[in-house]
Amino acid sequence: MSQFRFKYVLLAWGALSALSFLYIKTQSIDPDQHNHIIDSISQFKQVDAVLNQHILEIRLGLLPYYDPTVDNFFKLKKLQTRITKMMQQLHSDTTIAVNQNITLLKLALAQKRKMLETFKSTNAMLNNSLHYLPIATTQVTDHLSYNKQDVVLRQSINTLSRDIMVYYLTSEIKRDSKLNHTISMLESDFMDVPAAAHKNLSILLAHVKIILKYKDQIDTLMQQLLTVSTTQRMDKLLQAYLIEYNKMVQHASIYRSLLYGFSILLLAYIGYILFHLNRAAASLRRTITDLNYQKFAMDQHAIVSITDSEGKITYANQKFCDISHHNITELIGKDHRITKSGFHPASFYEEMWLTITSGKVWRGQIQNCAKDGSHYCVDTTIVPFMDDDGIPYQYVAIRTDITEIKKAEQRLRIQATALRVAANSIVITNQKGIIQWVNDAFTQLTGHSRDDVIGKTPSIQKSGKQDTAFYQNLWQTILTGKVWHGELINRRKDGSFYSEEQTISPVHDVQGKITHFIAIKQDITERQQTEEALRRSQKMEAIGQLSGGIAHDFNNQLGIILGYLDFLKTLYHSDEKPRKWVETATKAALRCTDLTRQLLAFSRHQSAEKEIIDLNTSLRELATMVARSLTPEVEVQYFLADDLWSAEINAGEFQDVILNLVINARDAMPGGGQLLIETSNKTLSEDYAELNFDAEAGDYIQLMLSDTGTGMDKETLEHIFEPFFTTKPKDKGTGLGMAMVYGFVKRYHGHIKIYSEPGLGTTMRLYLPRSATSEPASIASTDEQKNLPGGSESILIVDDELDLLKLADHYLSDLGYQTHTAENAGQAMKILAENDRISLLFSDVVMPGGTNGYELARQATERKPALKVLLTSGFTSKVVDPDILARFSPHLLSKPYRKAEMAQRIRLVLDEKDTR
Amino acid sequence: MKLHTKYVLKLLKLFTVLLFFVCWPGSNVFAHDMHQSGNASQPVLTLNLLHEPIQPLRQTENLNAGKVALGENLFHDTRLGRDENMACASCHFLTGNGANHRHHTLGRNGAELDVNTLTVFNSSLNHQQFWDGRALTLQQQINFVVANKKEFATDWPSIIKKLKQDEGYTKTFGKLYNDGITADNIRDAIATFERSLITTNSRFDRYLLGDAEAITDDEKEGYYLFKAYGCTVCHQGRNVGGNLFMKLGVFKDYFSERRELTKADLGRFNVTGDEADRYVFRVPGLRLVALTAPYFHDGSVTTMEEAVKLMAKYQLGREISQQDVDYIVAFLKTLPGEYKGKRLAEEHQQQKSDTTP
Repeated sequence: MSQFRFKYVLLAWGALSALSFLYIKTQSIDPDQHNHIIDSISQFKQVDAVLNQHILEIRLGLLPYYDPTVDNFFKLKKLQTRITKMMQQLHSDTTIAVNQNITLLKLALAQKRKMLETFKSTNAMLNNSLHYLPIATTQVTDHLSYNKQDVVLRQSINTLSRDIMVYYLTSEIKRDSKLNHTISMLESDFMDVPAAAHKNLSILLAHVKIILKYKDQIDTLMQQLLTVSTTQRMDKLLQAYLIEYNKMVQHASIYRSLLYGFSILLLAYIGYILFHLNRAAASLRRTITDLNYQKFAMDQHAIVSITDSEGKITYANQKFCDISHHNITELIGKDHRITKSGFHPASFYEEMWLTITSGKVWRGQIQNCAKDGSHYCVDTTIVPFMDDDGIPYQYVAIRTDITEIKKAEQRLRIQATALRVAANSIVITNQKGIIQWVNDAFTQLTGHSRDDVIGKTPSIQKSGKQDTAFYQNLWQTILTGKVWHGELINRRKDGSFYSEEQTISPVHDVQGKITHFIAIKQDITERQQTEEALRRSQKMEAIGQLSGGIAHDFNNQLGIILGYLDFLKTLYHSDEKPRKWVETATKAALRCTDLTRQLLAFSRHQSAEKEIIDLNTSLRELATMVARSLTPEVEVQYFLADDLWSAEINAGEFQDVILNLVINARDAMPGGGQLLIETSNKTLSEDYAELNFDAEAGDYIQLMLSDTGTGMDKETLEHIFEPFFTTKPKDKGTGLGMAMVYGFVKRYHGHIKIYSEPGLGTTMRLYLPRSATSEPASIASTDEQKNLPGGSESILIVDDELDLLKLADHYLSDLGYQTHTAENAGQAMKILAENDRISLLFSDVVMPGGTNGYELARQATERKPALKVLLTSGFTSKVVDPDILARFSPHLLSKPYRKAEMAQRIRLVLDEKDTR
Repeated sequence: MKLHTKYVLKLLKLFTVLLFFVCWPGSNVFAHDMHQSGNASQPVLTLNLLHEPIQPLRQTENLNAGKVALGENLFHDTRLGRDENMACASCHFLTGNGANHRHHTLGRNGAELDVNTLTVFNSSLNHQQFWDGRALTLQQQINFVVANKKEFATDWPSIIKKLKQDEGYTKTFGKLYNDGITADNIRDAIATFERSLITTNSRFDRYLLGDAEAITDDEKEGYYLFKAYGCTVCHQGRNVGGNLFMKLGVFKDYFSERRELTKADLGRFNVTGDEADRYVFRVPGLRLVALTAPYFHDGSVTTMEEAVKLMAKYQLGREISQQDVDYIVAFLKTLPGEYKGKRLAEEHQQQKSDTTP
């Protein structure tokens, strides 16, 4: 660019200097100067003539002083100097002819000056003598007498004087010689004249001689002076000058023609340039219009700002204002720090400035800050505009708002992360089934790394467990654009098999063509196991429900039998034989009661009194019983942990559980072995809970019984908790032991884990939740008391089972209480309404007629707030309002109850302080 | 050439007609003459100015006052001399006669100059400068003084260097001349000043210009004798001389009878080398002759009377009576005019002369 400009400057300079050269050449003749010269020359000639005239006048005695000659000669000299100077000024390279003539003129003038000086001196002397001549003549003749000799002398002198005058005026050469003769004659002939006369005569003759001497000289001088060639020299100089001048004029006219020609050329060139300029201007206008449209387009699309070289904003478009929330007046003149967010380090901006000040385009993403403090992200391109010297003079910044893109990117990243870390393994293939991407779960599940599988097909996982038809069906489904869902067995990298559930979804592009497949796989090996466990527990629950239901009814009947056997026992107290029968019957009935209790214990809802128990203490108390249960060949070892946590369980049930397990162990070791009983504190983690779906994380007391018995196979383990499942001979076990243990553990939200290896032994681990409170109570004695507590209060007994109703009536009447009986809730409410004195409601929970014992208790206490309540139940599956349950469950007497049990609970409830 | 011939012919005709009127003034034939102006119309009383050999002085016209003032300063400036103790005015007393009264002025380091110092008054009217006319102009005259070992003994660059240190000169020269302080400009300023030194308004000039009572009868007689004795063949014009060269000793050898020759006695021969110029000197103007004793180029003549007598004897070749000498001297005393409105007078000048270095 600058080189381009330099070229044009050179060109213009060249044209200008050519023009100037030509112009100067045409101006080499200065007409004014020329006129001056001509004028001066004519002046010179005139003054020269005047000088000559003065010389003549002086010669003729018309001018008695020399000043005019001096003045005019000064003038001549001055004019000559001026002319010379002007001619030499006119053109420095004056030709030889002119210079020669100048020199000749100068010489002529010098000659004239010299002659003039001689003329003046000579003329002075001549004039002096001429003027003196008549006086001198008189002075001589005055001294002469009038004798003949003197007369002759006088005459001679007078003649001489006259002849001198005539000679002076005529310049006759003849007279010259005659005069000389006369002088010599006078000098020689008149020696004897008087002294005074002689003296005067000598003076006269001296003057005459002077006249004669200078007369010719002055005439010659005169002639020479008048003809001295000053004027001719001047004419010659003029001639030479004119030749020179004409030559110059000719040259000048040639140069003038050249100048015209060059000017026309220049004009033509200028015209050409103007034409091109015009065209360029038109195209420039078009370009500007285009540019404006482009700028408009850019302004519509992008955020545009322009800054000067200092970084001050000189332009910002509407989009810039919109995104920054600044208005245009706030932006102009500021720099971009106004939108600085502080997100980027100073080095970021330094690098940017370094780039653009060096003239390079900078690209990058900047996070900026709007006026309201919100941040926005812009994709920025800064283009420096360079001047001719390569120095940026402004920067244009074009930005695109990528805040949304950034957010979307963030979302995508999150989603991608989610995909990657998703628990289900995800495989993305192209439409040909080549794996493009797999997530972390896949690599974890299969053992293949991502790099291993990308570019391969999922067939690397083929286990061979599915036939070709299976895969054909799969491909058919997904190739038709449908989602395939199914389970199949695949192979891990290490060769092991696993089951998985797969959903393969085709991905379509906009034209509906399938581009990719996404397979979402779930390892269902575990799930299948879990499902199995669930199925099993549901079975157990169902069995529990069933057996619980049977046990309930059975209990009621046993209650009746035992009740009346008790009456019979008192009846035949003294008679040995019937008493023994009754006792045997009672024993049998009691065994039945045990059976039902065990059945009920399997059911979760068996109500039991919970208390805080130290398992170590319980185990020590049980030690003798355990020892008695075992054969001598079995060796028992206890490892009881110190500081063992307490558990909140029913002590009786716990004893049953221990005895059951010990007996199982004993039966597993017919030939003897070792039994290990161990307690310890154990905290189960969430992970453990996840793996064992019926376990919950938390603090537990672990009770472990490990034997060295026969162990169990998987089949046995599968059914071990089922009621009536037994491996023992028919007469040896009920098949309810392990079911009871299971029920016990589940009831107290514990967990049981069995590890068994056939031929080696079995280890059972029971986890009982740690009690919130740590005060263990000793196991209450349930021994019958001879003196049962009684009372005289009125008690309303409600039971749908009439026999049980009567039995309860008997018991309570025996104990001295006033009794009322009702077979259902309606009756009960009626009786309560009629009898104000009723202090206690003793009601069965499970009753026909819609209103159960809990509901009755609620209604009754609403009517009669002082009324005490004791409920009794064998088993219930009915849903009960939790509030009511919470209120009345402490006052629950489990069926079948004995008289002593009942008496104690009735008294306890009646004596209770009213806490409601 | 044609013009020339025309004049010659015309004048030759006149020559024959006016043959007898040569010696008798009074004719008005040449009243149209170009070299005279102004006074032609004045009434003629006792003399016709046109035919008087002596013309009245007129103040030089069209002088640049600034240059005159500058020239006056330079004229008095001792910095022009090498030792900075000598100026033009050191020899040419402007309050006196424009020269001094030594027969040879004492120059640098007390050295006697070769010839008697001429007055600077009316010197611009001389056709050439110095006794031997070696300077054609006043400017050239200054050059000789500057270079002379017995006078300024310096050169122009030194003078210019000194003057340039003077702010006043730099300013004034800058104002008056395009090229500031140069040798040409210094010379021009001094010469311009010297052109202003015209001693106008003398008694005799008033007489010439028509005041018949301006001089006494004796003085008129002196003037008559001055002309009659032929003194005016040389001592003519405004400056009463000063416009031609003349050999000292036309009728008699002046030097052989008086003393040994010096180089200065050779006069113009020293300049031209021409044998004809031996003993030739420029005829001095007699305007201030009454004030400028001693006389002649060597200052050897102390009184005017003696000078007049010597002139009659050697130059005019005739006897002169004491009476006539007295008349002529009386006439010569009417010639000095005024400078700066003050009449130049012998008494006044003499007071000064004793104090000259």
